[in-house]
Amino acid sequence: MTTTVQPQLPDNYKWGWNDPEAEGKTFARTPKGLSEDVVRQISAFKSEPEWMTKLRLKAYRHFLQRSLPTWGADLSRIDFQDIYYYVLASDKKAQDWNDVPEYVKRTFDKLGIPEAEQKFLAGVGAQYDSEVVYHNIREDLAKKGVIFVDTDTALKEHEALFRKYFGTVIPANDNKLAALNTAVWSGGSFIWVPEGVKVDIPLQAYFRINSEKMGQFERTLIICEPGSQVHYVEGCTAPIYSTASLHSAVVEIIVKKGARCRYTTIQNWSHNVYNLVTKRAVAYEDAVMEWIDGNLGSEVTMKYPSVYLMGERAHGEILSVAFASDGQHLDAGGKIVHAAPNTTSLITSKSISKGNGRTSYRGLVKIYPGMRKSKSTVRCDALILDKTARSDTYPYMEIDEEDVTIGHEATVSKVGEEQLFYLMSRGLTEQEATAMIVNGFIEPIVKELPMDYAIELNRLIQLQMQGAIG
Amino acid sequence: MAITRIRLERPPLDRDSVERFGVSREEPRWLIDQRVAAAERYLETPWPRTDVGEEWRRFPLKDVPYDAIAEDIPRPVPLAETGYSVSRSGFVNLPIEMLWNAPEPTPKPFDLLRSLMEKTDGPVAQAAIRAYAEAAWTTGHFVRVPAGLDIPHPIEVITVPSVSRTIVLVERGARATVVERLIGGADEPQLAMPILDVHLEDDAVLNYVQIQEFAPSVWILGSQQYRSARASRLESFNVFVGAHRAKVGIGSDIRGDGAVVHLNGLVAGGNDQKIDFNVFQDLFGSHSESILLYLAALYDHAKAVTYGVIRVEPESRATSSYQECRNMLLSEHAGADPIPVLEILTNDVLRCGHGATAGAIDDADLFYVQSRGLPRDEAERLIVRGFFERVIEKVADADVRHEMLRALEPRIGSIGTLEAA
Repeated sequence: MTTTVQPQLPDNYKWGWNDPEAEGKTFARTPKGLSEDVVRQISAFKSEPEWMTKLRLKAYRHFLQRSLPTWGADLSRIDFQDIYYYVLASDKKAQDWNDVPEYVKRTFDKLGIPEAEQKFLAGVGAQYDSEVVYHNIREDLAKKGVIFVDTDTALKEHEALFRKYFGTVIPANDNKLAALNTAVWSGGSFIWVPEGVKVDIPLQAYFRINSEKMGQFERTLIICEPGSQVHYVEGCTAPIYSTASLHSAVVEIIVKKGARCRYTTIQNWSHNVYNLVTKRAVAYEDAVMEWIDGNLGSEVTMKYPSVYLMGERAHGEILSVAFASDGQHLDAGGKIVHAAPNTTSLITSKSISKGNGRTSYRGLVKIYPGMRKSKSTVRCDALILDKTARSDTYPYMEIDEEDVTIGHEATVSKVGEEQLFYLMSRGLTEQEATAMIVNGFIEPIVKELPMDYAIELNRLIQLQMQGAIG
Repeated sequence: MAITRIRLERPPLDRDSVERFGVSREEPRWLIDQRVAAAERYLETPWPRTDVGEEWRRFPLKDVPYDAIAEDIPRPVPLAETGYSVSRSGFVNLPIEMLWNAPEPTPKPFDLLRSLMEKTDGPVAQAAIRAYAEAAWTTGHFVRVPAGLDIPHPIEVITVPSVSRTIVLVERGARATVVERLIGGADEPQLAMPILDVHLEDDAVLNYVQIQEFAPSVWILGSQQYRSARASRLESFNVFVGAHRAKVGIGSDIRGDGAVVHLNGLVAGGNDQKIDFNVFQDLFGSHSESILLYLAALYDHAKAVTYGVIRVEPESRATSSYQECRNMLLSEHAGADPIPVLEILTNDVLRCGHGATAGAIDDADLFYVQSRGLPRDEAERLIVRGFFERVIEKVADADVRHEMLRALEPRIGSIGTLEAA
């Protein structure tokens, strides 16, 4: 397979590139397109148990029956037959960094993984062309009984646990893309935190798409047993391709009684990726689930992390940032379902649109009858940087209980002339001043991120502001 | 013997019966042609569906009694007894059909009416309903306030359950208050389609108050379209108390610079009522303002849906817009779906935003009022009244305020002696 980097790539685009040597080193992949055979092949490659093969096939048939959503972004350009559904980069899993193939390492070097690991990485599940090739579990995690492996390994080594939870939060028939993911999933992270165990360092995994027209369909499953605590960080950076690529992940999280889970994503796919992700968590009694979701990259993103509050006093929180510049349509938001009394939720969304970029906040707060004393607050702020940019807010609310407190507020503004004038009179250029205002605007989210992610997010926003990306 | 009813998917209509209807009413040819054109448009326009778009998703369309469209065939009443008026200044307040039956010296502004009735724009979600109503309306009302005229007293319009058209024209620099009362209804289920068209010319000022008190058997599929020209000012009030199910699409189209539109709503819902609005605030021009304020007090099993879209067009400049939707749930079975959508296609906005709330009366408020010695139910009434007061106090005319409260009180209760004190 040969792929050439587009010549018009800006020199200072640091995060998106193809490693030409890596391109030739792909060891196994299914033919282009999707069919029952391809689904069977994927399952066979992985020597999966029969129930998984059957589940994949069932999901595939459901995928054929369902239609794509008619709302949100325009998805009509996706050609599901023009995508490779499975590419294996390396046929063995590395136990430590030295075993990782050299060309893969080069890719990660540019992402800064080794330094990050030296600092405070707990384990690295690094996904390279659909398959996790590197996994390192710190000893103390293993001692505590925490399972942190790639999802394929989980199926092999912890089949009973895996089977108990897989597809219970997002069943294969949930939507067309969840069905697709269930049919062809590969990689992703599997985390199981035993009762009462608190993981006090964020677990991280890096994903990359690295073959042309290569879709990624990772599947992440996190189970927090009662009283446990975990913070998982997912980061995406991707090379630039000449044709549109599809990323369609499924993330399922179960937060049991009194447990706490935070899931952080900084998404920076190259500007030709369709990023269509289903993320859902269920939170039981006294549990806390938090989604922190940053969307900077991709051509089209449709992503609405959701929390189903299933037990009394459960709390759900969604913090979402989107920055769309030229040619991007980021349709992000969140969904909270109050299915137990005394539950509380908070959605905060910050979106920025630049050039002819378009951001949309799309969210739902649903309160079922009888869910007394539930409280929900939704707050959306949008900043529109250019005359040609667009910002939409679609906050759906369905309230079927009287004894609740629900509030929603949104503001939309442009960068004020006075603010700019003030900063520029202090010696900043207009671009620096605008960047500073934008940084202030997203501050509430940045401060929730681990340090190195906060830095990365600020850097990526700088790049967006300079027009260096896209 | 059992009677088998055929389930209708939409109101039946055909071109020929529309034409015959117009001819039987001795309508002018242009009007019959308009009806026929609307009938043709109706046949091409898909009827709303709950699974297409957001506007109709929450409305029980499948239960609409399409076979029971309310028809009020107007009886000829001597003009002197109607209380309606025409004057030499050009002021008109008349049932449309009286324009061609009225005695002299009624001015017959056919051309004017014709051009107004030709404007068929309105909320897209209500396109089929409008087309049907334009083809098949049985009652109509025309209010014209000629240029420069300031009419101090409220102009009253009465609309009964029917397929009806109300057309209000406030010409350049004129000022008026129009109160439209929707009253009446049979015991059996009935479907009413009240269609309102408001035209504000440059510098016109209009307070439009609709007080909807239809009988509990009535279904409403309605549409209201407001068109605002340069520097005009509109205060619209929808006071909804009656009807069994109501779905009303409201469109506000600001074309001129510096126009101001305030869309106010008071919904007092009870029993198993369902009151569903979709509102589209479209902003063109520069320095225009469009503010929506809808307040609902919901009792029993009542449900309010308010789906509002603000669209700030790319060619607009320095506009202000806001949507505020607050729902007070006064029973554990009441419900509200406030959905305020923003679509902003430019960064040149002075202000744009929205706020929505739903919930029970605030415990702290209740405690405060009760601590002043009021029993709980009275405290609750006082708080609901205070909640609605924000909108009521915007109406300048005391008689109109009184009318609004008279309509609301059967539901929200009276604060009687307290008010006197």
